[in-house]
Amino acid sequence: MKSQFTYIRSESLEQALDFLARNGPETSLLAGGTDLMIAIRNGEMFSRYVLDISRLPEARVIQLSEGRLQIGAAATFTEIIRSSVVQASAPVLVSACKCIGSTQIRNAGTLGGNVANASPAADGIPPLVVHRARALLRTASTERLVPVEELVTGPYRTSIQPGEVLIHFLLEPVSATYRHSFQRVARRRALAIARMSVAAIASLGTDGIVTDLRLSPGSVTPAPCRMTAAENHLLGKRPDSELIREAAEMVSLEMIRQSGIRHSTEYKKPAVEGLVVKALTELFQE
Amino acid sequence: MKTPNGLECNDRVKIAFRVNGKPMELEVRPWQSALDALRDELGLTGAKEGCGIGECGACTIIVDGNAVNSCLMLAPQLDGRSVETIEGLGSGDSLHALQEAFLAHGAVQCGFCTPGVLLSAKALLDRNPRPDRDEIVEALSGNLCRCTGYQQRTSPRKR
Amino acid sequence: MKEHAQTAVGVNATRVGARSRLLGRVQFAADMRMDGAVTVKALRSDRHHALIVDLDTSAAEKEPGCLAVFTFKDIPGRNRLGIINKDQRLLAEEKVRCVGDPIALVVGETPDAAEAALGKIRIRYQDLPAVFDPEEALRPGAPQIHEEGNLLIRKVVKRGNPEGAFQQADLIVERVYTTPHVEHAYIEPDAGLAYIDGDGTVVVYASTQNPHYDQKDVASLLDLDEDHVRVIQTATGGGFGSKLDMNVQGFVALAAYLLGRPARMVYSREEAFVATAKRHPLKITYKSGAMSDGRLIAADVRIVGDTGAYASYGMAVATRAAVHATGPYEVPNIFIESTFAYTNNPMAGAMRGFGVPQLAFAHESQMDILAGELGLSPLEIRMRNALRIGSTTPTGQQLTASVGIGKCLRAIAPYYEESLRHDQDACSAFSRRGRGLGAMMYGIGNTGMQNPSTAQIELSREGRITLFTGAADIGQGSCTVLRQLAAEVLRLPPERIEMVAADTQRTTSAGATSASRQTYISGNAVLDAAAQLADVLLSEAALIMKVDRNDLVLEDGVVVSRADPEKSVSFERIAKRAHRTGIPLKWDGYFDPETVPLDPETGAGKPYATYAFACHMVEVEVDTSSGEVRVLHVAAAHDVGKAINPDSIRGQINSGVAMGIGFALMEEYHPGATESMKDYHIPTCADVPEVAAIIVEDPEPSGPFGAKGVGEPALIPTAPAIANAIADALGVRTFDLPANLERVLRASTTAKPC
Repeated sequence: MKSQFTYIRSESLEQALDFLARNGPETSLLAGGTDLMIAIRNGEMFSRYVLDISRLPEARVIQLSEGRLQIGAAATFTEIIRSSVVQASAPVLVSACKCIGSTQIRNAGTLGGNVANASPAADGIPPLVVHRARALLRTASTERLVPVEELVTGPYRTSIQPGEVLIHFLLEPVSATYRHSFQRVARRRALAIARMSVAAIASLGTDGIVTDLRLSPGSVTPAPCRMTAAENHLLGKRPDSELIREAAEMVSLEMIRQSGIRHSTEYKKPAVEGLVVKALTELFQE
Repeated sequence: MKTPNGLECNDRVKIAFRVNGKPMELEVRPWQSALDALRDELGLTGAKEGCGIGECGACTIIVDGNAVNSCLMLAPQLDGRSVETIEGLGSGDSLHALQEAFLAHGAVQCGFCTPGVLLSAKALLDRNPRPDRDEIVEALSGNLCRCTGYQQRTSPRKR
Repeated sequence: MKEHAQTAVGVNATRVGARSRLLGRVQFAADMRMDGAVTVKALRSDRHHALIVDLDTSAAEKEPGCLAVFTFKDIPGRNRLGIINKDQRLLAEEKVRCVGDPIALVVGETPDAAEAALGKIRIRYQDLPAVFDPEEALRPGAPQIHEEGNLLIRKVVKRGNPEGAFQQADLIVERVYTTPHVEHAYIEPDAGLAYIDGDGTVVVYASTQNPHYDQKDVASLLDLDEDHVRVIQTATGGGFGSKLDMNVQGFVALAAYLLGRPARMVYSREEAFVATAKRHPLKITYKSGAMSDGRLIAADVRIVGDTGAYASYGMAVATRAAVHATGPYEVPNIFIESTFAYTNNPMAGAMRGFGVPQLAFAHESQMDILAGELGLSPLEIRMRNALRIGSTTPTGQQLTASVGIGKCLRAIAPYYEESLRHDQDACSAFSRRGRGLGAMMYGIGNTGMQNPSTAQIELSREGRITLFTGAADIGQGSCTVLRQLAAEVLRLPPERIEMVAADTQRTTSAGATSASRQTYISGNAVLDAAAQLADVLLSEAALIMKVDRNDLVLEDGVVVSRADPEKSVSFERIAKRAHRTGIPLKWDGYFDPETVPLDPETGAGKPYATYAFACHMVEVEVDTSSGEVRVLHVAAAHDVGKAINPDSIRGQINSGVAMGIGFALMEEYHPGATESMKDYHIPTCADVPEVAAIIVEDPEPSGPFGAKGVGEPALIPTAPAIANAIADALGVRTFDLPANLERVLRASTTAKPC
């Protein structure tokens, strides 16, 4: 039986925040609907109200602002893919968004929804992590900026409080000299949730020395994070295949440290190493 | 009925939108999907439910120029939008050029996925009149088909 | 008519109903609306095996908008269903045998009301021990699923002296292969609508592959004469075998009959997944014996099949699997045993190929292993063993015509050789490329039993021609092909023939749309009817024109004199005259392929009148770091006898390749776990490369204009070819389908060095 609820669409952020101030705990937010609609269909959405924030202008902006790339939480994947600003300053996010679902899903689904749903397989999260993205959360009376790694606390769990609205993300843009790679494995070539993914960006000095490297995998750890041991292994060095292989092993060790040995580890250990090797090889190839 | 802070709310939602160019007003249930509203309230049964969870594309419609799964959209979200369905493609008994191309290339078998595929293809061609095979595959990969094997649709020969 | 060039067959006639499908106007069952229609929903078991201790429907009945809750006690007739074995219940009686077993039907004024009432039914079960493995199910002391025991069928096919031959063989290869449950995943979930018409007939509209079978089981359920039940096939969004079983038909018929109101039922995707049949998972132990020159001399094949809680087409699948165990090759000494058992898994039934896709995976893997051991090329070993005219099949049938496997192999050879030239990019840091062949044969029609078809052709008083066929066109295009055949005989453009199809009141049975049989069997029935009408047209025209009938030919809706083409008489004029003189203008056609039942001890017989053959070549790229396999190229050669509609055949081939890619790489239904399209993946267009479809025509003398069939053959060679290509790429083979990420990555870890 479908979930039943009252539908409210707010035309302004103030209106939305005001509504949430009174009804936050009883309200689910609707942006793209690609996840919420499934919960409604299955009768698993128990809120009394569904507040449609998909048209809030504040949550749809994509722009460079004060040295940060601002992406509205209600911006669709398609809008992000087509945005020349994002293409220029966070191309790894564009690569990741292109892998999501299908054209239809990308036309409806939003980056904010991707993060708030907090699936370990969410393709949007690792790119945000490598761009040191922070999320702006607002209530009628408060405002906070939270790093995405702290916002997503575990599989399908976030630190978003009732009454809070995720407005936008602020990413550290990268210059054109940065290299990027998004690698992903799935059970088919489209319309498939990632079995695992890796987002990586890097910069190299003129001497070929790694001056910056940020690496974040998807579906590998319970909550999103950077792979700092692997990053540090390559920082300040001239990468070669041996170093890359060692870095990849550090990632799989970190996976096992955080998630333990499971039935799926037989596959995931070599596969995540493969993804990391591919990502780093792509980053550092001439 | 008003919500505690005065916003309009009801177990019926009034929406106004355009369907295939025609303005339309409708009262829908808040939890009704756009797909069900089109099929059950407007009798536009060209969009089909194949999975109900956005995995097959049989329910594809075009909203403000973008192909979307109407099963993943609440009917109230249609408010103010412009919707294209298969019933608006072609006029009367004459086929749209895309439909003619599908006919000529044997791209129709059982026909259940066909309306969704046509709308995905139309949304692509409206943006990009000369797509290559990769672009066609990207645009149509959200429309599952079990009968044709796809090739009759993904060949760039077709319009 | 022989002097005519063919104008209606061998051409890409427009598909019947294509325009209405393109315009989105054709009505599928879920699109039908009828005033006063009520909604039917089923309560289904969430237990694998349990006694129903208590079923309390009282609260549900009190739910607003709930019109009735029906249980097996409300069924007026016999609560038994099943195409071969009547072992299914429309509604469970004392126990449930699998998850998804229907227990009660709720009828509501609206879908919401029915859904709400469904949630109010209280049921108490007493769980019984369950068994999920067919070999365990056959051990003493296993939980008994049906009173008659868990063995569904044990079929043996034997010939020659396999023990002796294995002793002489230069090489023996024995391997075990497994295949999973596979979901048909037609895009249209099952749906139907029933009502009582003015004269009390129960009319059922349904998405179905076999309306005439549905009619029989509905009549038996309702205790009605068959002529009080009318089943009409609606536009059907694919079937692939699963819509051969009764799905919604009995439910809507029962509700409409008991309440006297139109009743509709539409499965959600989740319900279609849990409630309908699957492809039989098979375990195949395959032992081949060959001489050093590659010649096969012996095969010992033991097949164990899981038919789940009910038989459905299990006996047919078991038998066909056995008969096809050696593929398109001549093997003189064989022992094949096919044992199918009941378990508490979902019912497995017919699915495109009836067990042959599974067997082809095994026999084609064996061929490549043998070739590798003997230092022969995969193409060569297949050529050396390919059936030819005069060859004998495992059932002792001698093939006398239309054995196109050699032609298919030769058609594929240039693609295979071209692919060998791609070797230079075979290896990279993350990927290996490989190529593989898959070949098959497939008997057209039911196995060793009568499976006739009938058809009628009528000339109306106005000179219009209508073709009546019981054959259900489920998207494959039978209406189009049958109309082309009639048009060729009557020398008309196909579009001028009206079609009436798959309505039990207006058409007679054409048998099931299964076993790739409609072109060959129903096609011949149509030819029979059309030839009789043509004969009358010529005789009557001779009388009207006062000329020798041998001087007359049919042409474009008239009968015309060959000697004097100015002289002609229209079909309309002939029809008007015949109507006055009382000459019948509706002619019956009939065809039943010549078969000989299989001997119960040895399996000897003539199971099919004709066979289709095919060979596919695929090239794959295996990602050795992730286990992903990408199919790069496919060439598919099919001996169809004669292509009645080449575009339709290419459509079937492309479709079969796509389904074969799914079977090879990604499709696996896990009972109790797989729920919907979210966790069951079929290929998207991004997973299917361009296919070079090659039509081979080795005419079948008994076929309509030489035609055989292609629907199931299209699927069969693809998965074996992919499995062989992966093995070629890695030097390591996977013996279990699908070759998913985990299995391929595991194989990659021991791959041969570049």
